[in-house]
Amino acid sequence: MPLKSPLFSIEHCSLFLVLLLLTILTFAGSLIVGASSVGWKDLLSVFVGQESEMAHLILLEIRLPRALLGLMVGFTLGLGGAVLQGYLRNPLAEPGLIGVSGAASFGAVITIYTGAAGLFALALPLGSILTALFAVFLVQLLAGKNGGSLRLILAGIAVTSFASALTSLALNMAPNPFVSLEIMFWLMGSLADRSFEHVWLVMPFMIIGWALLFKLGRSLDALTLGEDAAQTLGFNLKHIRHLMIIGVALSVGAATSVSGSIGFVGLVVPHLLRRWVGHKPSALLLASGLGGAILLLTADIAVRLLTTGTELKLGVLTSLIGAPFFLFLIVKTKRNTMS
Amino acid sequence: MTLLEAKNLSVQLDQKTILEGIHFHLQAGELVALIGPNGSGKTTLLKTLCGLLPAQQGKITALGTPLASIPRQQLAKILAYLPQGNESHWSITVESLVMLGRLPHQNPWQTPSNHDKEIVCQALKACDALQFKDRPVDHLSGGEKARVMLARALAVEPKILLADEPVAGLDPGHQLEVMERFQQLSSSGMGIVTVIHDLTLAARYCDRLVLLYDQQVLAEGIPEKVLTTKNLALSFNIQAHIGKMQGLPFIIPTSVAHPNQE
Repeated sequence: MPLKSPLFSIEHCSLFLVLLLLTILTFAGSLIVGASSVGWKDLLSVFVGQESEMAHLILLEIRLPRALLGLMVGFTLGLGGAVLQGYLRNPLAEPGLIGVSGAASFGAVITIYTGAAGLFALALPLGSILTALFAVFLVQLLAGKNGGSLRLILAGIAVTSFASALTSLALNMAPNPFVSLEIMFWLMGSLADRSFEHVWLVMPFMIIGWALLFKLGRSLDALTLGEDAAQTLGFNLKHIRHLMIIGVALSVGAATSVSGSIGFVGLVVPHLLRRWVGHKPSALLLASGLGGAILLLTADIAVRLLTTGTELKLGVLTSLIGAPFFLFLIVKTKRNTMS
Repeated sequence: MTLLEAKNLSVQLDQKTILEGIHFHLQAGELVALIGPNGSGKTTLLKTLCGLLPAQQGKITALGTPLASIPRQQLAKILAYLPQGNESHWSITVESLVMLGRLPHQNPWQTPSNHDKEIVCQALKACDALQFKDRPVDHLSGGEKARVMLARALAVEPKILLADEPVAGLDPGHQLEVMERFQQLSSSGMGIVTVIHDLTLAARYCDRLVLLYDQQVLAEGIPEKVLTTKNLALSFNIQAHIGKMQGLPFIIPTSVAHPNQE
């Protein structure tokens, strides 16, 4: 009975229908927009099984994996952002906060730097995911034994800074300008030229991560009352933190490994959708995931439409739009607390 | 029936001793006030009694079972804790906030049943908050918020209620309402411990007072026995006028006592 699940309550039914519809539309849009002239007529021909060989190649081998990854990465970032904001009870939190994205980026950079990425296609995402998991182990260790969130943030900042320093070091020591250029471009974040291999590699990590994060819904609701009250409602803070960290590491680590770092989606989407689910953290999870998918697919379509000569990178676009929005949020938050 | 019992309890936070050698008990149907000056460890005692803080020494039992051996989810069904400050981090509606009190009774993927909704409705009614059940919590006044938070704790349907300054910030009318509500709840069998600074309210409504001072229980028992000139001077450092009017006790602090005059 999906309608009775707390993630999908009847009161917000129309919102979820709209989000679902938009997800399907942007997904389809991602399939029909591109450099070649293959469009919606060809997409329809695929459905009836009468597509040309050219359309088959472009739609199913090039654009479909890209659209799927856009969907999955966007969903991960939206969901991760909603979980982090709920867990820290802070509307300015984002999934990169606990160090996972920084570490995943560094892991990818290392595979480019050493040349492993050129040897076989999956070396980069694999190296990236492994580094992310290692970083999480480190963050857990640094964050201490009691379930508090302050040390976790500090540990996340420390790991992120260190990973970014190591990334800079790799750039600094790059054997030739092509390597540094490749690293730079990868760091900007993109979904271009990804294949089904990437989809299959990251999917299991993401699905397990999502499952862990969705389990947190009730705990996040209880945390609305603060950590003490949540504990006396029967929730174990340490258990919550473990689930959260591992869930974010698996899903966001996998997302970063395949797309590079894509900023602001995880920050902006939960913030925009919160009022539509009555500010309830558990109801925000699915909504924010779908919202993230919609935003990222839209941005990825925009990137393709705007690209003329040099490809505009997806992460650049999201940051270009996201940073001013972030500033707007800060100004607005300040005004609210002052009044 | 003894709901809560603590024997020879010592609590240290960051190597600083907050409580030492505390004996405490709460019977079913009892309304107990925890009083004492700022920093005397009232909140610490309350948090230790509901398992939020570890005790370095001593033993706490709830319903005859050692507190540490009761699974958290089980304890959450019988004990409700109402923290100080009434914080709600998100602007959810009053009704969904009170519904959080039902979490210990719900299965992980279950939505609120009609039974849950009925209990939430009753809790809201009992705290005079039903009329604004659809309003977002951050649109409420301080007093309204305090009543909503109390309703949240009552929605747990606990046997034991530990409330940290539940009447702070309430107007006199709502203070009386909360205390009367506590009295009704305790006479129907609930055991309630409340931290309270208003000594007149404590004397008037509570069955037993526990006065904390200097890490220890300075006095304990019926209000007349605890609220003596000597105890008030020693613990709160005040001179007070203690009297009765139409059978109701009152305590009016008149001046700061000078410690050397003892």
